[in-house]
Amino acid sequence: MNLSGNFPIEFYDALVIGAGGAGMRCALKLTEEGHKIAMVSKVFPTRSHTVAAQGGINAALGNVTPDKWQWHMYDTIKGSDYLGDQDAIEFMCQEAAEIVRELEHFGVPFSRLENGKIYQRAFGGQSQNYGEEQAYRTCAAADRTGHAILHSLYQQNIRLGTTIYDEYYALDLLKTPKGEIGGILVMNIHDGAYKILQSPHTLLATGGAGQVFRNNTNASINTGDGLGMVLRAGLPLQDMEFWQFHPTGVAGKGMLISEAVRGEGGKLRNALGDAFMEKYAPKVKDLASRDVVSRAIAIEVKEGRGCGPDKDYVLLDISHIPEEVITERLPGIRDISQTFLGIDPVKEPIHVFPTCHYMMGGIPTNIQGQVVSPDDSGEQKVVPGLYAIGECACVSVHGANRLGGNSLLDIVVFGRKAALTISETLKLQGSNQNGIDLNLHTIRQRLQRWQKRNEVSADTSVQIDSVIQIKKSLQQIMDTGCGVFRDQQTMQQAFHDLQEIQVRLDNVCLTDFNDVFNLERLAGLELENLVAIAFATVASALARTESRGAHSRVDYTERDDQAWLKHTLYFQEEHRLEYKAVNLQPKHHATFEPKPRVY
Amino acid sequence: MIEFNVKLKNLSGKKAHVWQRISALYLLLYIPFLAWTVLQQPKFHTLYALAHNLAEPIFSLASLIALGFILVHAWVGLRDIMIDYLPRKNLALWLTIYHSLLALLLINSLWLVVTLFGTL
Amino acid sequence: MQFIISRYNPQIDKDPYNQTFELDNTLLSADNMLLDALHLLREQDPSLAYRSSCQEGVCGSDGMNVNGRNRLSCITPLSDLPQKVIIKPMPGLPIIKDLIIDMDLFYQQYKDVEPFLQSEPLDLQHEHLQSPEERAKLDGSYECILCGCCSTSCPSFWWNPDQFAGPAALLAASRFVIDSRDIQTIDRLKDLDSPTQTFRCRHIQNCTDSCPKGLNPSRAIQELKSTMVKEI
Repeated sequence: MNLSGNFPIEFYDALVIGAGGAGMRCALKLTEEGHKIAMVSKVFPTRSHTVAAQGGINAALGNVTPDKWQWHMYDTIKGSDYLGDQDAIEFMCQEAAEIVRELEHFGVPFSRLENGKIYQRAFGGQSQNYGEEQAYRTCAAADRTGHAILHSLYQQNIRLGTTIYDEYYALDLLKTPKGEIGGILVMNIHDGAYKILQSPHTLLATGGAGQVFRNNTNASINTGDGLGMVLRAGLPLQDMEFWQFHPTGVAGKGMLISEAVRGEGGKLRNALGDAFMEKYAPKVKDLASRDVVSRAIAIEVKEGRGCGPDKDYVLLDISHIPEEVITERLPGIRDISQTFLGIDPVKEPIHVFPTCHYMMGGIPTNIQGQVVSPDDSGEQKVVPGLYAIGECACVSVHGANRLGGNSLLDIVVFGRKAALTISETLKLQGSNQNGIDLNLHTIRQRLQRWQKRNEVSADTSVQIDSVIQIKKSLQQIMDTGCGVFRDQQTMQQAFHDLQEIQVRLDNVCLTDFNDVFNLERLAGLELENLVAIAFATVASALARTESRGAHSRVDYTERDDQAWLKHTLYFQEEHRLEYKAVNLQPKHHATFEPKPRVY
Repeated sequence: MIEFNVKLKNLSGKKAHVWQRISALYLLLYIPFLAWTVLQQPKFHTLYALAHNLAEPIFSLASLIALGFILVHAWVGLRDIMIDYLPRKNLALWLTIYHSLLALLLINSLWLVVTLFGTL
Repeated sequence: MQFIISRYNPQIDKDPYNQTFELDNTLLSADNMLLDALHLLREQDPSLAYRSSCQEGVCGSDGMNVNGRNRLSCITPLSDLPQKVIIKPMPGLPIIKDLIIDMDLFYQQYKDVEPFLQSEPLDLQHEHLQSPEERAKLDGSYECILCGCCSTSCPSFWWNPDQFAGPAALLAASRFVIDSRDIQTIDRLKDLDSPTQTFRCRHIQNCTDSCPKGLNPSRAIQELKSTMVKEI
């Protein structure tokens, strides 16, 4: 591998980094508008983690129960524990119906109602008329909605012939001499060759980073690469303390058991057989918001009412639902349960426990998908040339807790929106290449660092550290230090332990120095991102001395709107924190004032 | 190579498939009929005698069609095998030779029929 | 357990060779999948290359040939395997490194069947209507995860991977032929009518046998053939 010479350069009107639902929706629109773009993905597009989304996508179509986007907006804001930006949530909910019909047009095989319309199911935290009856708002393709959407979007990209660099890993953002973002450095995983992709518009759609936790529903590729790049470019991450723990992961393993199971009538039970959610959310019971249900399960287990020999999980019971319904609506869940637990949910309840699922925080953006960062006077300014969408972005539409069915919506709505923003700019300004600073000094240093060989003596008694071992320790630290319940002491400990991890990371060496599919080096590069994200999480969480949404502290149990109705901004340099106001001014609807959150 | 690809594209898969099915179906009916007819025959000592016995119109016609269908069936089957497994470079040539051979065989068979039954 | 894994590094090796790994049974638990074992082996040898991502059988990254059969390692329980496990890359496509194959031909075949819905123009006020019965016809074909287990176990595909679409692509083709919303059915059928496409399938059922999602490409191709006979 040659790190000293010049890297080959290619020019594009726009770059889309990541080929999940968000990236592919965006690339589709940009290609359709006639721009010369490239989509970069570290895996083949249909391997992206959108494929694993199960339950569905929210839109107030009103196919089953009467519905309005305003009700959806209210539920999303309440679900976010009032931390979501109301203008962004309003925009997303308004766009929802059209965006779902568009997906249907792209070929998504949605399940159907008798009248031929799209099937919609009940999901947690959704209501009619601002908090009354349960709403049926989640459009579903059985329990494989993410798979159906991702494949359809890929298929549409085939139709338009989008340029895709698959199995290329994005390493770092490149800046122009003026300090704007002017492109990206990528590595071909097939042969380890580097290449510069230069463009006036670089969009990050790199997805989540659930791999910072040991127990997670995420794919092993979810290492927050976009977030790492942004931090290294000196830009902030927003609301990184908010991680959603999905109430129903397969106990001890993490595979997702969709909320759709409870939407179709599934009940959570403890060791005594009690449907315990009645106690925690008397009105909506099992269909409370995810943070509420996760805490309830954690409490049941902590108080000794867990099941199994170690009393460390609860039961998700659907045995009362007719087998035909399960076969038609929840075939994937039945599959997962049979494969990983050896349990047929038709006969026996599934063993579940909360598991890390989704990152509410991310790269701060505005509704147009443009990345924003505070200037010296604290005013939020657009970062020229950089965009972010999907799970890696924080618009913020999910605030402190995301509602089920809103993530698939988020990716397509803002995928399309960001594409329109870029397209309009391109039409106005043309595709001016501003030139990039080809010195690339820090990036070369970073890459050089992973060429370092192990200079260990023949003394094999010394345990050699490895990327895999460091990742395992990191995940362990985050599980103990920043889980469903948090307090000052455990988080302080986690922060301390992370500093040790950083030292180990700085010193670790590789054993494989080949260029073809060098997955050890790739894991090293990914680990750098994960560690950066772990720091962002713990630092942001330590500072927030309140409980809000998914961030629940045993030492500060109440929400504190006076002090904390604001977004956290984390900068990597010295782990510095800043704050910015929550947007409470939607354009077409009156403000939803923060209220106590009861389900 | 390009020219050959065009040629292959022009070959219908469906037509061949249908003919193969029809011929198979016909032969499925014909073979029991043939067995039954032969068993019904009085004793004979020469091929000429047997041919003479069988030379009644319905059986002759059915046999003639069967012969045709055997050739059709074999044509599709062997053609598929050739398309599948022969080196692609000269496949068009091989297919042409094969088709000519089949045509020759057909003429030959017709001649056989004519000599066998025509002299009666 | 013993794992005999086919290794190949194009920068060093001329040909693939087998390497034997041992894993102490105490490191494994009863409910481990083959992928868990591979992760442990990678701790022994970080250069061991295989693709994997979701670890629950929906992304389709980790297809490999295990004791002669194409499977997804993440949903293959170790308890289903003997003490000696022979792992090879899926056959019929070029090997890039160890268990990683170059799937470009496979993807190209998929792209060539135009696997995208072509329907009436978009109406933002209404979705296309489709009855539950029409929708039910798509069950068994839209779930394909493009892992390649089927096509790389198909001799017709091995022999002519650049000509024959293969079971995965034909399953995708049939998914759009039977979708009631698609308006290009006849054109699709005409395009698929060739002795090198649909009719190269001989229904030996290797695809159906190897599909980790329990789909039946062979039957879909059979139905495609009957539809062609009826419709064009």
